[in-house]
Amino acid sequence: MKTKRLHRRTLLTGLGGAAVALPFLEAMLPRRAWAAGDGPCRFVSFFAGVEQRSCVPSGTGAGYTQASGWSTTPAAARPVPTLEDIREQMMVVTGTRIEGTGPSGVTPPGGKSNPHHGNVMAPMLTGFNSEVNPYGVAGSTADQLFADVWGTDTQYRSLQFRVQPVGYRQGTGGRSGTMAYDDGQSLVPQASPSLAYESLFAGFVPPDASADDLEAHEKLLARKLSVLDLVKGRADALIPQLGGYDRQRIERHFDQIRDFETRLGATPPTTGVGDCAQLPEPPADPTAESFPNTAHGGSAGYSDEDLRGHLMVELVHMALTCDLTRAASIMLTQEQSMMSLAPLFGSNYEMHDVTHNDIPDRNKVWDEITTWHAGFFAKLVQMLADTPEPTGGTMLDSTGVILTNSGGPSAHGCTNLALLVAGVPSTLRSGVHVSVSGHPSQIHQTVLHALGVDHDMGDLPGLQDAMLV
Amino acid sequence: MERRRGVSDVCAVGILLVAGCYAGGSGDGASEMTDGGSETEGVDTDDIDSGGSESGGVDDDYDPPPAWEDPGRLGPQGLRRLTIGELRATLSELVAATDAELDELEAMIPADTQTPYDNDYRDQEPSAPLVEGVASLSEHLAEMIVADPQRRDAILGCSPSGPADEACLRTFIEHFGRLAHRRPLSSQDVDAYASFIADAQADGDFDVAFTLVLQALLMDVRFLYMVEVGTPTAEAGVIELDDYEMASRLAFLLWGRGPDDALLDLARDGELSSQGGVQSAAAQMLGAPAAEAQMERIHAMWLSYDKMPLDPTLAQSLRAETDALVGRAMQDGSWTSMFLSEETYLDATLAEHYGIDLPGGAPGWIEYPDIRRRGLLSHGSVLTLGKKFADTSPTERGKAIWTRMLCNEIPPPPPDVDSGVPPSAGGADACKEERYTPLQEEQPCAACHTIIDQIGFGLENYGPAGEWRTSEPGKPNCSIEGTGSISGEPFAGAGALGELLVESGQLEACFMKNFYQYAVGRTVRTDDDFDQAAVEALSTKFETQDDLAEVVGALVSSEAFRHRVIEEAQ
Repeated sequence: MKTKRLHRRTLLTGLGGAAVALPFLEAMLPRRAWAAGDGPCRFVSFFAGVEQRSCVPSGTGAGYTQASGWSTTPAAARPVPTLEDIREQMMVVTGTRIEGTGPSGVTPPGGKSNPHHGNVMAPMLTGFNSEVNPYGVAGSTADQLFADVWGTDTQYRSLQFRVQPVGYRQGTGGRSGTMAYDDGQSLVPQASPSLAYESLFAGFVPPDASADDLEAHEKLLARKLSVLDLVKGRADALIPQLGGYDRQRIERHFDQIRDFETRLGATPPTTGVGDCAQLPEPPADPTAESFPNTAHGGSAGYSDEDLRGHLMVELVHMALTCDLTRAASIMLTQEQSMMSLAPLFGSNYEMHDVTHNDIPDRNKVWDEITTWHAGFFAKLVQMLADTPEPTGGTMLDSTGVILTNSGGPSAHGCTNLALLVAGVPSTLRSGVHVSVSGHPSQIHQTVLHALGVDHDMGDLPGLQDAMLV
Repeated sequence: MERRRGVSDVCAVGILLVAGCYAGGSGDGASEMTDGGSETEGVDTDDIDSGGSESGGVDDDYDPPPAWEDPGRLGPQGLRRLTIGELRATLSELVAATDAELDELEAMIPADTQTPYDNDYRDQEPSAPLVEGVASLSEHLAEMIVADPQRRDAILGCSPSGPADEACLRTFIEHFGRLAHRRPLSSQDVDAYASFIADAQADGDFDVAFTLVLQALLMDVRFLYMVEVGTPTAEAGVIELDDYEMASRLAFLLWGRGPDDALLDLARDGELSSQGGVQSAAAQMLGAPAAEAQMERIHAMWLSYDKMPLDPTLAQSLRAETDALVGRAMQDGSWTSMFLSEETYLDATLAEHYGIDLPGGAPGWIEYPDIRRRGLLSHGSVLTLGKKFADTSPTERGKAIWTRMLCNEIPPPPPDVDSGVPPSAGGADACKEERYTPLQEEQPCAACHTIIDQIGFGLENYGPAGEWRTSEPGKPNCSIEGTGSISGEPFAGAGALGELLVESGQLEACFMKNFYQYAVGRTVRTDDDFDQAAVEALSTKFETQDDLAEVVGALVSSEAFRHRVIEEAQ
């Protein structure tokens, strides 16, 4: 069942907004324990907006052979580690499914209503039936349940990124472009690597900064904070004049202003400890280019999602390394993605076409697409495995990483789904393919469990014991 | 002059056009259809105070039932944020931002969700990318402005005599602040913003203060949201807007942007506190070019030609064609004439695209040379709705007309159907009629496909972007007949279909439902009696008068529009 958290704003308002030290309240205490690693626990969830064709390996256990849909690398993409390169750090979990609406018109618990697109992501990532809330999504995604516990004292409670910046023919955002939900509230992702960079590193001061630089930096920061203070004060003064939905909306906006202020005012991470460092400034965000569109006529778009994906993975990695956040979600492509396949896969179709149309070299292209998505998972896992924890071990020891696709193994199918899981080797198995049954949200719940966060997910909660050591 | 049509027409076709298909999946779609004013589905009069005439028949002395116009009689609404479109139009007015500048700024904030309108408040969840994005946006905008001292001074309204010219800063705060926040700032607020002069003084640079003030004003919730505090009424949860809030409501609905100085002056002078005052303000506003642009934008979202998946040059020309027609219908006070028009506005690109002669070659209105084209339904902009499989899909096109233009419902195909592949009956070489035949003959498909595919087949002579054709692309032996039917009424081509749609009356009812959705910033609630009554009454009025500006004017000058039922917290 859902547990209602105490909103921080609610609490402050309850105290008349007075500046008092926060009281010690049981409900606000994070329930957490260190995992077996030496660092804080972390969690990253990837989503790929394409269905799978061939992602179920042959054989189970340690001796499995990777499926073609996880190992057919597109030549045009920038290099990433293959899943074979990280074989010992990860596990493939197959066999879960999501039921659709039956002939009686009833959508079962944890099921997706008809049509598939627009309704599959909610059950996939929250475990709740997609008809529960007709205006959005019910419940929370795993990254948010994790952030409830581990996101309380980092600059960002959680990060939400989207690699595919626009929806092209499909339209941007909405339910197709958001993968993180906090108790039914959508968390709009940042789709610009350069703005994400600006936000993450705003407080960083170069180690070789001169006294003048430091002074200028301080002055600029102080001014930004005084603008925010004024903006926040006016929002706060407005709130008591509003009622109902209006009040709630401005309170949430106020929360965002206050969080922004807190982030800006926070002591910047100490660079030079461990691997925390300011990354070089990324290039300007690649803009959308047009490519031929055989199935639909007109043109299809691509905004160098390959480069954007690399940048965002690197940003998330550094945000975790510097402990700016411990929870992140990365939507690689929108659900039912209509990104052009031309530049990466040499096919003049949109990504969504590969699941429906009889396009040339369809199986190869489809396998390349799923492999390309998995490449970003592999990149992050490799980076985490290569980053020592200052207190010993590697960052991967205390990080859970998961990749979920929007369905498979056919167009609009949701049976025998394959998810990739990595990290927390003390609790989660690795180097194996495990075949289970049940609902994909149980895989998310099991990874949370491995990180010490026990929370029932969705309509069909449960743990997948086969994933555990 | 009011257009009037026989009751028998309304009923005969009206009832036919709502025939439903199977109630699969979630079920009762058919019962949610608008009825276009037919007698059978009148609003339950128990829910209406004054019990006005509910006979539903159309007669010359028709008076709309007054109930919907009363305070608190529009369905509940929540606080709405400015959409990206509104933000652009407002900034364009405030600081004369160019399209290129606005493009750069727009990229900094999250896109709006379109359903198909961009202003559904339920999708406007505050987020970190929004708050940080607006901070970046206002910072960049300030940089753009101070880079050009002339432009800066024009926006300031004065030339600063030095870094510490507080009087000039205050002039700017008071004037710009009133425009940006759409009401005068209190003297305390002016003081608070003016305190940034200390930073200018410290740096010996006036622009420091200008930049900080601009940022603080644009990041403010009173700029970003259509804040309506109002005053409470006797009815719980219902507020009455003050004159400034009324000015904002009018400006955002009728112009798609914030109010200008003149409108704010009307609010200041109390000119908007009477129904007559609002009526005359609205009439003036509706005559302005901004209102025409706004109605063009609303129509474009209604039929999704605001983002055509076509080559940008062609898309721009198609948009200009349809905008011109919408604009003319507004000016002529005859909305349905759009669907029957024998003239259209072409430029050279479109003349070539359509294969129509454009004498002189300069953009302008021409008379269609023959019956092949008539009205909006023959515009490439609208016809792109049926684009699929690099061709047209009679199913998609028919569905778009059936659902978007007539507000009927069509359930999604059963879960085991892959609608991503073209119908394959008879093999890939078969002509389209043959490929689509089984869909219209075999259950469960036939229930819906007989309705929608037949509409699409009547428009098959128009290609995916509206170009004329007589045979299927790549299949010269598959000649196109271009005949179809809607609810059993046969027709061929855009003009004939347009006539049938207009005669049904359902077209206007459906557009009014859409307009209402845009006006309240959310979908019309089938379970909300106020929503239903208001849409019904406005539809009937629209159907009778056919003058969009007239109906919109009546809506905005009603007491209902001056009040707001506040949506409950979620």
